[in-house]
Amino acid sequence: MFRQIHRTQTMTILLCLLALAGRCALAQDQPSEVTTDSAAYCTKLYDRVQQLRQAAPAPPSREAMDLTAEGQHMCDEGLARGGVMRLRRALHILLHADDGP
Amino acid sequence: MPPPRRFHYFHSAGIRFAATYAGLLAVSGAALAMFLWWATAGLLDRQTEAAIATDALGLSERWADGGLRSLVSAIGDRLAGNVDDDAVYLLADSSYAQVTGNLDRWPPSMRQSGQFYELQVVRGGMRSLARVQAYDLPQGYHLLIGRDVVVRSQLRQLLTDALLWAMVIVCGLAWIGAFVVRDMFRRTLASVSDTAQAIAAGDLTQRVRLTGRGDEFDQLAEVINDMLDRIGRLMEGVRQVSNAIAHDLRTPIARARTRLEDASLHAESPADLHAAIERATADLDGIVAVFQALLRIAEIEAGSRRAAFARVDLSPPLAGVAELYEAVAEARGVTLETNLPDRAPIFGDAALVQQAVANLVDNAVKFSPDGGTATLSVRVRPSGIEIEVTDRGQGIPADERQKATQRFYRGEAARHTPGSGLGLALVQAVAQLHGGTLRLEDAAPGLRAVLNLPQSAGVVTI
Repeated sequence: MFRQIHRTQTMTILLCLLALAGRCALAQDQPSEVTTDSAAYCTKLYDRVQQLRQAAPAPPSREAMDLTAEGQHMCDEGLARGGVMRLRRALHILLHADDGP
Repeated sequence: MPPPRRFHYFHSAGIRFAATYAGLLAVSGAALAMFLWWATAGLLDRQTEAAIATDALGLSERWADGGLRSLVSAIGDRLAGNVDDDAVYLLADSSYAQVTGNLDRWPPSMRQSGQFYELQVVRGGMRSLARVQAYDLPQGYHLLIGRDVVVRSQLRQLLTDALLWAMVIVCGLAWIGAFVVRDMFRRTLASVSDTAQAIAAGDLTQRVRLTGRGDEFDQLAEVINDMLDRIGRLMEGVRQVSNAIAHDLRTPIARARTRLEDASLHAESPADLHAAIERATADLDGIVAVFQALLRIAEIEAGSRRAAFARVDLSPPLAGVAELYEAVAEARGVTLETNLPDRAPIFGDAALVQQAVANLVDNAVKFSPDGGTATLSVRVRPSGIEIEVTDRGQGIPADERQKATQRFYRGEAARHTPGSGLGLALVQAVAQLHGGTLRLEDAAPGLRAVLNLPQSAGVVTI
């Protein structure tokens, strides 16, 4: 354990020196939580996709619909990060539907 | 003899050589590793920082266009469209409370605007690492923009580990190579050292071994061997001269001693005693003359007489030689014919040239048969003076002519004639001092000695 810590510190010092001294600092704070991996954000993103689908003049593509369904299902199953990623891809497809292939 | 020095690692040229090799290899390896790190892991960092900077520029434009509402909307859009799932945003108010973004709180230690930080984050219960940059906005707002770099960090870790291991391997190879280089150095020097020790012990036949590769060490060995060959020849010459001196001087010294001893034992009158002393004195004068001749040759070969060189006309001194030896030749029944020009200018020492020509003429008269003819002729050429002395005696065989100019060398024909064997050696020394040459040729019958002296003597090393 001690060896692992020592190695990490050594590597950190080396990296800091090499990556333009003074521009790098390692935080000693408690880790922050990323809130976009949560079920709440999943729901929020799903609502956004739905709004976009309803506002769209043309029906969404099959891929966008499948990704939306998969995303919602994964979020319901507690796999928030995977669900968010699929909903984001669905949103991306919907936003760029007019761009063409 | 100085006491042997204690061996010390820092006094070993082989070890210094090997250490230099190892050092250069290690430094080269480190430089290469640094470059690879900069070109790979460093590139990932620079790409992340460029993405953050671009993001910050776009968001600052949104702030400028629509203020806080526009910025909040933009952050929401970017988070929603973050297909790579690596973006980190946090907009906070003046008390660092969250306004929008996907971080639950502002890290207390990251409040310096423009500074990059490595931030530990938790994503779906898993620890991760983000690289973030803090910005201060108008009205006391603060913005944190970042990218999740855990994958890049792992890749960077792998690269760093690989480079560090590569450095360990390079250092190991440098260490092994240093030993190889040291051994090569020692083996090469051992040959030179062994040869030098053998020569110091008296074995002059030893030579440095050549590897046959023709490299710098072989060239050095050839130079050393040439030097040893020359030293060997010089020592052989010294030995021959020493032997010749001992041999040639032993007889007259022994003769003088015998005469003095005989006179002391058997002289019947003071007149007999005086006569014996006079004969012994004459023998000793001959020995002194030999030493004087040796010293004169050594003086000429040393080149000290060159300082006395001047533009001189050789005609008068050579005429003096002819006049002196005409009487000697006549007494021996030999005719000395001369052919001298009115002027024979050279840049040199007239007295030395006169003595050299006198030696040649003396030899010619001495070795000419009764009723024979010896000639002394001088020709003036554009390049210099050519002095030719010819006799009609037995001459010198072709295989002995090269040796005839050595000190104390006496050919078979000269064994029974008076002389010390130093005459031609002196002529040779005078010729070399003037930058000229002495050539011995067959006059069929007899010997032709040709002394060439240039108009202006070049610098000649004897």
